[in-house]
Amino acid sequence: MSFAWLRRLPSLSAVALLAAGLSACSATKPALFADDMENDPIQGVNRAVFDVNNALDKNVLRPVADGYKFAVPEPLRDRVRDFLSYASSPVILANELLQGEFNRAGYTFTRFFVNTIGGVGIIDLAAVVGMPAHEEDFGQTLAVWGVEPGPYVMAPLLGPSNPRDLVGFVVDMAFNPMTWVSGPTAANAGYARTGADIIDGRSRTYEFTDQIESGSVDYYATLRSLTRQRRNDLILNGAPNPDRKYPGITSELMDDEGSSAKTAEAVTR
Amino acid sequence: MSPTAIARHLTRRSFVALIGAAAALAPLSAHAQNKDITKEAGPFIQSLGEKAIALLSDKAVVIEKRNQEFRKLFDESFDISAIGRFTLGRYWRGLDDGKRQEFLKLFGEMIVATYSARFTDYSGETFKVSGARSEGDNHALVSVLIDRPSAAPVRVDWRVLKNDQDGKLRIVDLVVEGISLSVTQQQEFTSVIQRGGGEIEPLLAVLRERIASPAAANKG
Repeated sequence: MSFAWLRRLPSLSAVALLAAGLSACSATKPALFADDMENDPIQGVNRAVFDVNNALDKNVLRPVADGYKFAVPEPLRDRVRDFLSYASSPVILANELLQGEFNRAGYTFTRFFVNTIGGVGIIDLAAVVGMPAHEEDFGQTLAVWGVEPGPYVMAPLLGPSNPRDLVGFVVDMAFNPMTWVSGPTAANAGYARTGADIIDGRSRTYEFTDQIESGSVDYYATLRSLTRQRRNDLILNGAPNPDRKYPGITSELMDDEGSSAKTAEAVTR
Repeated sequence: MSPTAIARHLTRRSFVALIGAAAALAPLSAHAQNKDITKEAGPFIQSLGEKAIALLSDKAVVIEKRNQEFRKLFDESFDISAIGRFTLGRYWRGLDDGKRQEFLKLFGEMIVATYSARFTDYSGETFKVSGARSEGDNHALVSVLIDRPSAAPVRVDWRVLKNDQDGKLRIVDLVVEGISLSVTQQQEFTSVIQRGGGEIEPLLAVLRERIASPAAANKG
């Protein structure tokens, strides 16, 4: 589909403008995940998918990632990581613009410029001088626009998610220039990029997930909570969560918790 | 003793003594009205971090002694009963006193066993308080950057409450890169209870198992 999308560009940019307008005028609070809500109506199915995902992870992905770690020396793996990060900068930039975060978009553009000129796309020079990459995606943009996440979904292969982030995932793929360039070579490059992304990412997170798994008494529930809190932190760009619940000392607080937990139960059922 | 009886017992002498005591206490209570605790919370966390790092980097100390010291530091700095209560969410209220005490004891032991095992791989991290902000009366959030020699620094927020009765500061939550340990623990514990049919016993059993052999849990 060679550049047919170019003809749709006017309507696409209209959507983008509308979106930017929405985000600019809606100074509302972003839609966050509630800390104390289970919101997991299809838990039975989710747990079954989780088991399959874990089995695939242990038996397929992990050996591949281990092999990658063994076969490719670290400096080279770092170049792969830096290139993957570089290739995702248009998506990050687009999402920051859609969120009305113009300062952050400027930062990402500066990074892109520095890494193109000084790092030819394979060295994250900007990070070396103290400008690490932002993490943005369309799921976060929807949250900033006030779209609720919906229930917990354990997606096959993709892992912990929700309707909002699944939509975001698809839209981000559409944002990515690689997806739209035609021809088998480019398509293969696209698959290779996604594959490398997953393998590279997994090879860097084993230590972390092993610690969580060994330290928890219900790995599924722990991961569910961790994922949502992590998403909230990304949506808030690291700002403190205004809705955060925490242990208190007074009995009034305990009563509050009791009642909010009841609401959570009611919603879950 | 009724108020009138008290009044009858108040002789002139004891009345004078009472006034004197109130005058002596006045500066203290004026101080207690200052509910912004950011000035004391920052140093409190910094000193705790320094003590913990001193403990971890002392290679001469035997493991058992270190675990003891860690337990002591933990007991005096964390409000374990408030955290424990919170982690049971709505299920705390349905428990009798015996079960509550049993849970709090096991919870404290589990935390110490898990974290003292994890802290053995200390490798030169530094601990620096980068700021503190007031979150209301007797309540502050202290931000810390933990610098690691080989990776990006970790952002950790410590939620500190001051107890009005004993005037002591205690930690009620640790938020690592936006992830609250208290919230995560609550979501995990309430899930275990719910899956166990709303009973606390399955959770207590898992905790006992974990304390008995924290190493066995490290199956990877």
